[in-house]
Amino acid sequence: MDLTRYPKDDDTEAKIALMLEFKELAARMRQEYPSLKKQHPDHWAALVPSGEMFVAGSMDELLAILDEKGVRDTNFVIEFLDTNPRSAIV
Amino acid sequence: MILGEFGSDGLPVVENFLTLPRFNVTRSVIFLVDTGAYATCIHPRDSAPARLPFDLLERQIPSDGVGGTATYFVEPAVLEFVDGDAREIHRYRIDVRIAKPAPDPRHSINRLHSLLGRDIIDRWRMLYDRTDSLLEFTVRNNATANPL
Repeated sequence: MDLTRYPKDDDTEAKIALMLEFKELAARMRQEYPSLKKQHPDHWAALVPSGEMFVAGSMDELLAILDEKGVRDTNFVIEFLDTNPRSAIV
Repeated sequence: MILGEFGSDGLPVVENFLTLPRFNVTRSVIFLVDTGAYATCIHPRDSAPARLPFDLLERQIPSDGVGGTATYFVEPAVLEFVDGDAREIHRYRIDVRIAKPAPDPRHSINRLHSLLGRDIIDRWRMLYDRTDSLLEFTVRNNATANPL
C-alpha cells in the first residue's frame, strides 16, 4: 500500500489536511451515492483524491483497477451500491 | 471537538486513521458509531483495501451479534481522530477485532461498515441530533480508559 501520504512523523497539520481531504471525499460519495446506485446497481465504487470515480462488479475487481491505475492510496472512499439493503442490526 | 456525519441512509459515522503497526498499514476508515458494540471491529470493506495479510492474523475469538456468530481476530491498533478546530489529533492504542472476508462477495460481513465500539465511545461525550444533522464528540479528560 502507498503510505507515502501518511506522515511518518507526528506532523499534526499534515494529518489534519489528509483527514479533511478524506472527509471531503466521503461527503462527495454520500452526495453521489443515489445516482451511482441507479447507474451501477450492486456494484462497488471508489472515489480517489484526484476526483476520479471507479466502479466494478466486485471489490476484488475494483481494487485491481485501483492498483492498475496506481491510485490505491491511504485516502480513498469505497462503497457498495446496494439496491437491496437488508436491515443491519449491529 | 471531533465531528461525525450522518450517511446517505442515516448511518452515524465518523472518519479516522486506522494503523495496524504489526503490518505497517495505515488507512483512512469510515466507522459506523455503534454503542451496541463492546469493541471496535474492522470489516473487510476496510481491511481488504489495506492489503491486510489475513493469514497472519492470530488471536481468534468468536463474537455474538444479533445476526449470529462471527469470527474475529484480535489485533493491536492505533486509531487517530482529528479535531480540526482545536488542531489536535486524539490517538488511542486499542485491540481491534478484525473479520476476514467471506468467500461469498455478497455476504453481509463483506459489506458492513467497520464498527466504532464502546472501547472508544466510552471516552467521549456524544451529541447525536439527526434532526439538525449534528454528530459531535467531545473527548473527556477523565475518561476511565486512557488514550496513548
